[in-house]
Amino acid sequence: MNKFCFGLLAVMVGWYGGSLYAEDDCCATVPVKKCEHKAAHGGIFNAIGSCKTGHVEVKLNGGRLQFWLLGGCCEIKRSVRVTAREITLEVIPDGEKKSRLLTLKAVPNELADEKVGDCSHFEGQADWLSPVKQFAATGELFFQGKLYKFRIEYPDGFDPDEEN
Amino acid sequence: MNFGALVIKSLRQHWLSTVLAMVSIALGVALVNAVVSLREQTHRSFTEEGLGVDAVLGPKGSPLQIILNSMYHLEEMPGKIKWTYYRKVLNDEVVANGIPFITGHCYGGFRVNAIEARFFSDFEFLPGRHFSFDPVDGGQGRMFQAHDEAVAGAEAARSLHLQPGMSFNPVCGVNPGGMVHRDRIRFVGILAPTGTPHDRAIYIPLTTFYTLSGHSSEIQEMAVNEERREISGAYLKIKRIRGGALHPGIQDLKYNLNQSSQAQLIIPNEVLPQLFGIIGWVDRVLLGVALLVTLLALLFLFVALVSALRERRRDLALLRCLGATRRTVFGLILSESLFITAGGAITGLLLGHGLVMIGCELIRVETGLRFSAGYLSTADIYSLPVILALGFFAGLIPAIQAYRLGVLNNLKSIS
Amino acid sequence: MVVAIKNLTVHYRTGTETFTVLDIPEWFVGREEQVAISGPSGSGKSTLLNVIAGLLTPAYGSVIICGRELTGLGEAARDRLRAAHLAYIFQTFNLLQGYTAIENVLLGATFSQGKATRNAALTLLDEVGLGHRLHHKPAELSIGEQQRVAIARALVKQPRLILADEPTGSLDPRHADEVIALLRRSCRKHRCALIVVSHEPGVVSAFERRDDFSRLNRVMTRGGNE
Repeated sequence: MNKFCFGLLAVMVGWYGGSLYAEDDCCATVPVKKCEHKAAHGGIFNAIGSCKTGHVEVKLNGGRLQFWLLGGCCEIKRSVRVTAREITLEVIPDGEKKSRLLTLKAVPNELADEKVGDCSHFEGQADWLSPVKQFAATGELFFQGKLYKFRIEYPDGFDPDEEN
Repeated sequence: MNFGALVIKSLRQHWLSTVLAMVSIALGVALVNAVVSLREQTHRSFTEEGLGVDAVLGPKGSPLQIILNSMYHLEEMPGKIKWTYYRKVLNDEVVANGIPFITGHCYGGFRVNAIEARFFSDFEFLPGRHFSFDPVDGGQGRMFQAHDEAVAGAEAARSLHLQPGMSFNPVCGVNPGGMVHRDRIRFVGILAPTGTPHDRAIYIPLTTFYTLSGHSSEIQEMAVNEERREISGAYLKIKRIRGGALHPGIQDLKYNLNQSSQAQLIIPNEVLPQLFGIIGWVDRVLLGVALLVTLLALLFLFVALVSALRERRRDLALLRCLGATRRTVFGLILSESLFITAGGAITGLLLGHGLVMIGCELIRVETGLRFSAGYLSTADIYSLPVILALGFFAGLIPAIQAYRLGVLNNLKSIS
Repeated sequence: MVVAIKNLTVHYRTGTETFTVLDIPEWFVGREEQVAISGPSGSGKSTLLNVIAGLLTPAYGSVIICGRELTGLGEAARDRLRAAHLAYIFQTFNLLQGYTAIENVLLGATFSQGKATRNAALTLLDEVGLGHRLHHKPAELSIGEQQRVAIARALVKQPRLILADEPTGSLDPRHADEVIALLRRSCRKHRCALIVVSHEPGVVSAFERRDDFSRLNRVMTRGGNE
C-alpha cells in the first residue's frame, strides 16, 4: 500500500465521512423544497404524486418521447420499475386546444435485467410530435403499488409541491 | 561610491536583520511555490490525463475506491463482477474496447494484477503513448505469453531489483502477511517507464490468477468456465464521435449500468475532481499557512526597517548634510526593502523548486507518478512581482519617515 | 565672492514666541579666503553656518553662495548646491561608524556630480597622514585621526567653501593646533575658502581675518549651546 499518498487521501476522505463512499442522502438533514438534481439523460423532471413519491424524467428529441421512471427526491437517481407494458398519454402540444393520444412502449434496460412488465424506461414516437417543442400531458400509472394520475409539463417540468 | 554601493553597504551594516528578513521571505515564498506546484501537478495528473481509460466497469461500492484501486493501485476492490455481465457490457453500442483485470495480489509491496495481454498493445496509457519493452525506451524483454510469466512496471522493477529471468511467488491479498502462493512466476519483461501508476505494478496473465495454488476449487474452475468466472473490473474504451469527443451515449450506458445490482460504470474524470473538491481544503490550508508565513516575513521586514531607521537617523541626517536630497534618502530605504524582498523571493523560488524536487521523488517512489521539479506553476509566474509589490509597501512607511527626517535636529542631538 | 550676505534675518519659533537669532546687515567672504568667526556661545554662529550651508531658511535677506541666491531656492536645489560646492566639518566629526576611513572619504563626493575617484581619496588620506589607516573604522581611530578623516572627506569633492563648526572642540590643545594648521594648509592647497567658527582664542588667533560675531550680528541672543 502506498503509505504516503493513500494515507493522505484516506484520512481526508474518511474525515468527511466518505461522502463519495455513500449514496447521497439529500433528505437527511435539510427539508427539501425543490429538487435540484441533474437529470441523467438531459431530460426534465416531472413529479408523480409528490416530489417525495417519484419522478419521471421526460426527454423529447424530434418526434421521439422518452420516459424514465425514478424515485422520490431522495431516490431520484434510482430507477423505479412498473408492471405496465405501455403508458398512454393525452398530449396537448402548445398552441393547440385538442389533445392527442401517444402510447409509450416499455424498453427494458437489459444491463439492469429489466423486462417488459418490470421496466422503468418507456418510449413513444409520432410524426405529429416532431415539430413540438412544448406540451402538457396527462396519464395514469400504477407506481409503487398505487394508481397515480400524473401530469407532464415540458420543458418546464411539473412539481405539485410548488403549485401548492 | 554610488547609490547602489550605499544600499549594499547599509544592508551589510545590518546584516543580521537583512539575512533574517531574506530567509523568512524565502521560506514563505518556497512554501507557496512548493504547495502550488505540487497541487497543480497532482491535480493535472489525477484529473486531466485519465491514464488512457475512458471508464471503469466495476462492482457496486464506492466509485472513488474503485478508481483508486483500478487506476492507481491503491485500496482494494469492493467486490467482483461476472464475466458474462462484462461481455454483455462489451456489446453495448458505445463501447469500443474492454480490458478485464483482477486485483488482489502483491509482491514485495507492489500490486500484482492479472490482466489480458491486449492491455499493453491496445491501450494508450497517456494520449498517443503505448506501453513498450523496447530497450531504447528503457524497457527490457517481452510481453508474457505463457501461463507462468509476468512483466513488471519500471518502478517496481527498480525497487525490487528485478530482471528478466528472475522468479517470484505472488502473495494473496494486498497487505503484508498474506498467504504465499507456491507457484513460481518468471519475469520475462520490464516495461519502459511511463510516468504513471502503471510503473508500480506487476502483471500476470488473467487466467493465471484463477489457477494459482491455494485458491479454492470454485476460483480454479473460473479459468475454464466463463459462466462462473468473475473479474475485479474492466477498463473500457468508449467510441468517439466527430472531434474526438466521447460518444454521448456514455451517460446512458452509465445510467443503465448503475441501475443494475451487478456493476456500475465510473468515469474517472467525473470522480477525481470530486476528490479534489473534498481534499481541496487541505491544500487551501497549506497554501494559507504558506501565505501567512510570507506575510509575517514581510511584516518582520517592515518592523526591521522601522527600527533600523531609528538607529540610522543621524547617519541619514549626515548624508543629507553631505548633499543627499530627501528623494535620495527615500530611495535608499525603499531600495533596501526591495533588495531584501527580491533576494528573498528569488531564493525562495529556487528553494521552492528544491522542495518540489524532494516531493517529486517521494511521490514517484510512493505512487509511480512522475512530477517535474522544473514545472512552471502559477506561483512561479506571480510570486516575484507580487512579493516585490508587497516589499515596496513594507518599505514605504520607513522611506517616508526617512524623507521627512530633519537634518539639524538629528545632527544636533549627537553633537 | 564665495559668500555674500545682505540684510540677513533668521527667526526661531518656540511655541507661540518668536526669537530673532540673526540680524546681519552684510557680510562677505572672498574666494580662497580663510575666516575665523569668534563669539560667545549662543550668539548664533552655528546658525549662520547652517544658513550658508542651505540647511536653514532665513526669514529675510539675501544669501549668495558661489554665485547662487539661496533664498528662493527649493530644498532640493540647495541640497544639490551643497553637494557640489560646500563641505561641512563638525565638532564631533560625524563619520559614519560602519564605514572605513576611505569609504567615509568617498562618501563626501557621492552626491556631487563630479565623482571622486578612489585614487583621489587615497591621495587625500595620505595628505592628512592616514595613508596607513585606510581600512580602519572610526571606532579604531583616535579623535585626532577621525578629524583628519573628516577633513579629507570635506576636500574630496574639491569644494569651493568649507564650513567648520568648532572643529577642534573635541581635541586637546596640541592636536587642535595641528588640525587647524592642516585644515588651513589643505584649503590653501586645494584653493577653497574656509570659514571656521570657534570660541577658542587659540584657534581664532591662527587666522589673519578674525570676525567678532557680536559685532557682526546685531541681535543679543540668550546663552547656552547653539
